[in-house]
Amino acid sequence: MSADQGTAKLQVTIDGRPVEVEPGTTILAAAKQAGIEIPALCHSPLVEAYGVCRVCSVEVTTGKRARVVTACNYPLKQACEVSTRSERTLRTRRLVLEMMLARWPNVKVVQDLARDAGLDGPRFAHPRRNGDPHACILCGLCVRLCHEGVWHNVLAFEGRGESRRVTMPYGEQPATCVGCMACANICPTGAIRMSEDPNDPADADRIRRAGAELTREVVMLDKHQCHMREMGTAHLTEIMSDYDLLPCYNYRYGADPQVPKIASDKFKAVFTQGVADGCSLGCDMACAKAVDGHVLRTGPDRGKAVLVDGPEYETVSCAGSNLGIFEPWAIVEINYYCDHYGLDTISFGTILAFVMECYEAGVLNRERTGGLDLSPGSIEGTLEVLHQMARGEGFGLIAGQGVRRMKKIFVERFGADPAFLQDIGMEAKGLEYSGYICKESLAQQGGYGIALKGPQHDEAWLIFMDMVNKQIPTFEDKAEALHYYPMWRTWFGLNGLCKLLWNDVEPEDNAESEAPAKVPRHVQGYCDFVAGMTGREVTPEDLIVQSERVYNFQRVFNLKAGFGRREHDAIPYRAQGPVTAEEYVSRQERYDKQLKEEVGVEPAAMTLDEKRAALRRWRADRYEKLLDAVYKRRGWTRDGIPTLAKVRSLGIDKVEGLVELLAAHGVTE
Amino acid sequence: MTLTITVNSEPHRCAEGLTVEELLREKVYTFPLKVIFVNRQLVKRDQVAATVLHDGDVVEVVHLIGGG
Repeated sequence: MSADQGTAKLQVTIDGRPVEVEPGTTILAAAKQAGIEIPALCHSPLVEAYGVCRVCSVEVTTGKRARVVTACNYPLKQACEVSTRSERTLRTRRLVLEMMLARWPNVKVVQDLARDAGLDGPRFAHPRRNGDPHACILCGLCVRLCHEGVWHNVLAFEGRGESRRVTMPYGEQPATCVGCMACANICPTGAIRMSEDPNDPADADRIRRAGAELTREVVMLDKHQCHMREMGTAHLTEIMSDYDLLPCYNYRYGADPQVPKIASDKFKAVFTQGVADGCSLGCDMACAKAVDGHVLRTGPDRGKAVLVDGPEYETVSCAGSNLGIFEPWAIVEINYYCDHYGLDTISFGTILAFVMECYEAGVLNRERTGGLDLSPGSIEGTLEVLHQMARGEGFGLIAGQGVRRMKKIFVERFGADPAFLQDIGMEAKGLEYSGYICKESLAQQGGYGIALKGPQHDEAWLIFMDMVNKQIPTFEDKAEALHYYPMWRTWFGLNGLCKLLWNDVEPEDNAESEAPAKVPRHVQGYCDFVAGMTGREVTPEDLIVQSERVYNFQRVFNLKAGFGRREHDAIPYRAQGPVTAEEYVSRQERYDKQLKEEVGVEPAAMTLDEKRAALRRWRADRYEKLLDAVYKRRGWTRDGIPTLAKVRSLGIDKVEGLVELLAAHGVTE
Repeated sequence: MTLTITVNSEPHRCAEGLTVEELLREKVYTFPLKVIFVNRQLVKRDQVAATVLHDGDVVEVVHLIGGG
């Protein structure tokens, strides 16, 4: 019960000091609140109190009754007096520690606690004396963390009394152990440690500390923040819709009344798997989710119950709302068959969204799709195209070529308007867009458009910073963000480290840091990781330079491959603004306001077509100005090519043929 | 009486006595990772419900970057 529910607080005294607490608060927590430290060994905020070591014993007096209890798991329910230093308390604590010291005399944490309790040494010999300084003291932190925090059950106690020990099933590491090392990180004695490390880190202890902090944050904070341990990235679906950012009907709209049908709770209800997979040391985010027993309704495996890995947010958005599909089972089925056939759910979804809009606009019809109804929302048609793509048959043979080639095919075969298809075909550099509406964030338009591999958001996701927070209002501000974030996020890829640990969980005091959006403490955590691995100290700035070197080299590589100039950073107008009249009308208030306040024209005196044209001119012009600012910030020419000075400063000019390649594209001294 | 405050650089009209928590609901700011400042003073998480806004207040709701 909390104070919010109107429960009266309890008055207790601890060592004579009055403390007011919520009923149910443990003595350990109440003492901490009063600034009194009670020694404890088997306690950690990451796991449920256990009371096994009994080091935290204290004396509680209620009325005439006094007894010794363990502070970590004794909930305060009535007024009482607690003594952490009474003779009886100290005698109990000393005896507990004396027995531990007799059994594990060289374990530092036991030695320290015994010394603090005034013990010189044990008065008796223990029959199971273990002189190992890293002996297991049976505190059970590892067993509980593996079960409660990591959601695995790899570790367990075996035996009773003096024979009790921590072990794994049949004494062997089971396949379910993902090696997250949370057990080693929480072990107070070093009994569990990396026995073999193929990477031979320079400072394993530093990495262990970084990993332990990560485990602590993920286990303790995610449940109050993004709930990614429960729902994975699918938690974003309803949030993106709230901000008008969820792609619906081929990126026409950012929200839809049917979104609650595919909100995260609907997938949480069908997720049957989702434990930490050990992909990053110390991370127990457990972001990967899976659905067991999905009975397929279509395709070659129809009728079979299968395991589906996902769905994640991108699948729910690109292959769900973006197609007007709001049925969780259908999204799960698309997810399964995309994986089964080796197709990407983002590209597949964005391809079908384009196809559906073309069908709706009359570019396609049943005759042209081989008899398929591909209207927005058509589940049957979507799944059939998916199967056809895999078989290389029918309309699937066309759709499987992607949006860029489809535009050409539809113009050549069906006489479609190339300008319309260019506007609504959500691809750049030949890659389909990922799952965010970026019409109202110029910075994100650049984040997508300039991205080296095509419009993926893993270089930069600046929508909140730009559109909601209004933190980067000028072209220069946006260019700075489009320098820092793409370099930073490229760094994760270079090092094979996950991005979720950077900003999908946030330290408790992040708000008070100098740059909360950059999550400075987590950036430092990555620096610690690098230094621990390599033995070389690095600063956050060093990491950016590491990326810049590779990023610029990749840009030159793109140039060589025919994708590295300004013209290749062009984006479809659907990514910049409303293409159709109905899109404009759906957010008319917003667009009219922009025309009036930003463009400086009077919308009341204009027709809808005139307003759309004026808005388009303004938005297209701003995108070009953004490219100018970004290229300048990155040390590139106006055509988007790294200058000689830039490649020299990064030391990549020594790559054979690089300077000549730049010269062939007009970049010289 | 209505107040005029500034939320993320834009004017916002709201009812007198509105708290920061109510403002977040009004603006549908549902993303969980946010840092909030009122007149450049940090509003800690446990103060969001108790902090009442006044006419002319400048509110910054910094959504931490996310996605992907």
